[in-house]
Amino acid sequence: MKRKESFLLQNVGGENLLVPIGAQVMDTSGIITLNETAAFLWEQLEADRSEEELAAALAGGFEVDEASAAADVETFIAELRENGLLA
Amino acid sequence: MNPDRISRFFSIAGMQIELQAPSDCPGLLLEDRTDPFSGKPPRPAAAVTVDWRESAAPLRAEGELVYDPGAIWRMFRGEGFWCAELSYADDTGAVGKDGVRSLLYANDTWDRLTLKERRIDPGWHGLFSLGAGELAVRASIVPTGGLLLHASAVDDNGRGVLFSGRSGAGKSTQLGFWSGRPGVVTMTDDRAAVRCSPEGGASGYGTPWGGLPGTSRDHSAPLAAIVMLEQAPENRIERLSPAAAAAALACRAFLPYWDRSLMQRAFANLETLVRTVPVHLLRCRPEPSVVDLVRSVL
Repeated sequence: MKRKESFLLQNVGGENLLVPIGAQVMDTSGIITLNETAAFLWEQLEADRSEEELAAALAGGFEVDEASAAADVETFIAELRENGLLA
Repeated sequence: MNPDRISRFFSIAGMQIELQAPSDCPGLLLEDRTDPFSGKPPRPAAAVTVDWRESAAPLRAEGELVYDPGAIWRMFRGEGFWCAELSYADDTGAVGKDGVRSLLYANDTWDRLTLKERRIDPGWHGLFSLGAGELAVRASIVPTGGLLLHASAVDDNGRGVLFSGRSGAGKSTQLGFWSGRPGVVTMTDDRAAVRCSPEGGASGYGTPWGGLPGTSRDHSAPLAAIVMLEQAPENRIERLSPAAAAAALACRAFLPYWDRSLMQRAFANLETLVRTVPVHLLRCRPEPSVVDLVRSVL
């Protein structure tokens, strides 16, 4: 899976702000804030990634065990899907 | 300058905006709200030209639709230009909700604009004094290091204070509490501009697009604080972290959602702003004593 292209993630004042750019603004509502791991996963999704690959990247990038990483990825992906943020 | 055309200059948020129109056409007929902003700023942060053109034919936007906020305007992208379509009716009701009033064309840096309009009847006035001008300033201020915010603003004896928050949070009410006090100048009740200086610090400005005509003026002050408003049963003020301030202000800024590179610049401006100007959260009752509470943190 991949993220939609039509978003901008930018750290502003220490907060990760995710905003829709262009036509997608019509389908989404406003500005989303992402915590550090969510921003990390969003960046990973610039390329096509499976949930397993994302969990492995998360476990490697942060001090979390694989089971927790897999659970975090599952939750995050479900939220992305629910909000229409996946390509 | 073509002798068949005349210019009127405005000073808005420290920018010089030149509105050019044919001399034989009242293309500069504007609402009174722009009158206090007539003239040229002493040291312009930018020079923006708006070339007013009359259209006899119905207006139709050019390019591909790229942003539709579900409001009175939509943004289209053409080959090397932006085209904003403004559709709302004026007081005459001469144009239905779906009728196109104006087309605002812009280059990528939003300093060379063309405003195409159709005169409808004697009650007609140009939308530079309303949505078209506001959109032009909202975009053209970004490359100068600024932002347009949903906020009221006062100059309290040389200390600029912005009050921002969702509709109904008390922005106009605050203005009423501050108005008339010694050394206080009200700048706007609804649309404030800000600009960070490369030398440090930031300034706040009134703009013509307040909720009520007559409450805004071309005035600026060094920003001492930005206050996010929330109604609450008890009065309390606390300083927000830059991260919390960024999240709060991003929702109250009029951002260029149609253009990725302009958005990146707008966020860079917001980053500088929240690291330069203290941002506070004021939970309060609607009572004049909150003026002293705000002054206690300036």
